[in-house]
Amino acid sequence: MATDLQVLKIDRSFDHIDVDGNGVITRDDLQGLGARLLVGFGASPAGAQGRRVADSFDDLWETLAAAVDLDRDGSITPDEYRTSVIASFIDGDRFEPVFRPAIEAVLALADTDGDGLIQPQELQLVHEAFGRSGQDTEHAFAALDHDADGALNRDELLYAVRDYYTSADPGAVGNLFFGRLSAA
Amino acid sequence: MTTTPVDARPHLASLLQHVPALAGRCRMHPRTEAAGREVLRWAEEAGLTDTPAEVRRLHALGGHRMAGRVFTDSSDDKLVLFARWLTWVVLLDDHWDERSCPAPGQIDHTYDRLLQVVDHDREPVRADPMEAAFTQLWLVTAARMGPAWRERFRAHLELNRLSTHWEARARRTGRFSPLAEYPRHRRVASASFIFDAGEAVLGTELSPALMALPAWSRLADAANDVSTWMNDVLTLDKDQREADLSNYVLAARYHRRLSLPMAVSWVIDRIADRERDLTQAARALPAAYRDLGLSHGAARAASKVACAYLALPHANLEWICEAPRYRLSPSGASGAWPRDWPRP
Repeated sequence: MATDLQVLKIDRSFDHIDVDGNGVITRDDLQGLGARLLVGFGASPAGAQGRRVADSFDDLWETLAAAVDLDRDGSITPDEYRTSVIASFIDGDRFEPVFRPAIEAVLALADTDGDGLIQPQELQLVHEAFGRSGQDTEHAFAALDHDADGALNRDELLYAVRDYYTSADPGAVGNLFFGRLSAA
Repeated sequence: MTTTPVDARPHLASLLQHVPALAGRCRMHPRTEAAGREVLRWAEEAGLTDTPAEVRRLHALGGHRMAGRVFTDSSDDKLVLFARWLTWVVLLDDHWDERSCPAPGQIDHTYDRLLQVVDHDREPVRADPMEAAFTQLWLVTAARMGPAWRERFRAHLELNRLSTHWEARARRTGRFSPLAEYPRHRRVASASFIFDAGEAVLGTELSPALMALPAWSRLADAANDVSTWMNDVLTLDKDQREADLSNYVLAARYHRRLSLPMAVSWVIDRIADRERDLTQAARALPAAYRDLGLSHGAARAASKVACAYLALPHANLEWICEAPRYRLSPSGASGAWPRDWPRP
C-alpha cells in the first residue's frame, strides 16, 4: 500500500522517464535517460562510470518490468509503473539490491571531481536529464543543503533520493529532491 | 573491469596506457549474434556473397558486433538495419581496396549511381548487387526522414567520394599527401554518412540548428578522429604490409622523419588530445540544448546520438581487436610505396 504522497511522487517520476510524453515507458526510454546523463558529464557508456550507470539502469528496468509488464510487450504504463515501484521498492525488498546501485552510479557520475560532494551545476545537469527546470534545482538545492555550504554530500543525497521514491513522511526532505512537489 | 580486448594488437598496451579513457568494455546488444545471422542472410539474398572469397570476407567482417556495441538498447530491427549499413560500408571500402589503384572515372561512376538512388529514391537501371543493397537500405532508412537529413546524407556521400579519390591518388602515385590533410580526409573516409544512417535508425532527426552548432561538430569530429587514428595505430602492421598510404602513423613517420615507434607515439599523443576534446564536446551539449530551447524529449533524443559518438572509439577498438578482417593478410601490398621510403 502507498499513501497519496507516495503515489504523487511515483507518478511524477514516471514523467521523468517518459519525456516524449507518449504515455508508456520502455527500456529504451530509461536508457535514453542514461544517455542524457552520460552526455552531460562527458562519460562514454563503455567507460567505468558510464557502464555502471547503463548496467544499473538495465537492472532497474528488469525489476520494473518483471513486476508488472504482464503482457511482456516491453512497455510499461503509468498504472503498471506505480504498481511496480510500490511492489518492488516500497513494499518489497528490491531497493537495496537494485535501486540503490543505480542512484549511487548516477551520483558517482555527477561527482565530477570525486570529492564526495555535488555542486549546484552538477545537480542541475542531473535534473535536466530528468526533465526538471533550473528553478526545480534551486528549490531542491536550498532544501537539501542543510549547512548552506553550497555543496551536497553524496551520502546524504542517496538517502534523499531514497526518500523521494519510498518515504511516506510528508516532512522528509527528500520529497523535494526534484524540486517542489506542488509546482508540477 | 576488463580492459584487455579479445585479440591484443600491437601497440594496444601503449595506446591504453597513454589514453586511459579508452580502457573499458562495451555493453553489447543482447541480440547481436542473431542480428549477425540476419545480416548474413540479407547479404546472401542481395547477391553480396556469390563467391567463396566474398563469403569469407563477410564472415571476417563481423559488422553486427560493431553495431551491437553502438546500439546497445535499440529494438532488434533497428540493430539489424544498422548492422546491414555497417556491412555495406565496409564492403564498399573493400571494393576500393581490391582495386588498388581505381581510376577516377570508376570512382565517380560508383558515387554517381549511389547519388542517383538518394536523389530519386529508386534503384538505378541494371543495378549491381552493391547498388541494389544500397537502394534497399536507403529506402527503409530515409522513409521517415526530412529534406534536411537527406541533404546532409547526400553531402556526406559526396565528401566520401572526394576522400576515396584522395586515397586512390595516394596509392596510384605512391606519394603521401601533406600531413595536414590527414585529419580531415580520414574523418570523411570513414564514411560519415554512416552516422546519418545511424541517426535515422535511432528514429530521431537532429535539428539543423543543433547540427550547425560548433558544439555538435566538435563532438562528431573528435569521436571520428579518435576512432580512425586509433584504427591506424592498431592496424599498422597490416597497413604497412599493404602499403596503405592513408595510414596516419605511416604519414607522420614519412613527413616528420620519425622512427616507427616515435611516429606511433606521436599519433597516440594526438589521440589523447582528441579524446579529451571528445569529453569536453559532450559536456558542452547541455548548454547548447538550453541555448536552442530544445524540449526535454528532443534533448534526450539528441543525447542518444551523442552517446553513440561517445561509444564509438571503444566499440571500434574492440571490433578491430576481434575482427579477422583487421589481421595481417597474406597477400601483401596492394598499393605503391614512395621511392625514398624504406620497405617494411
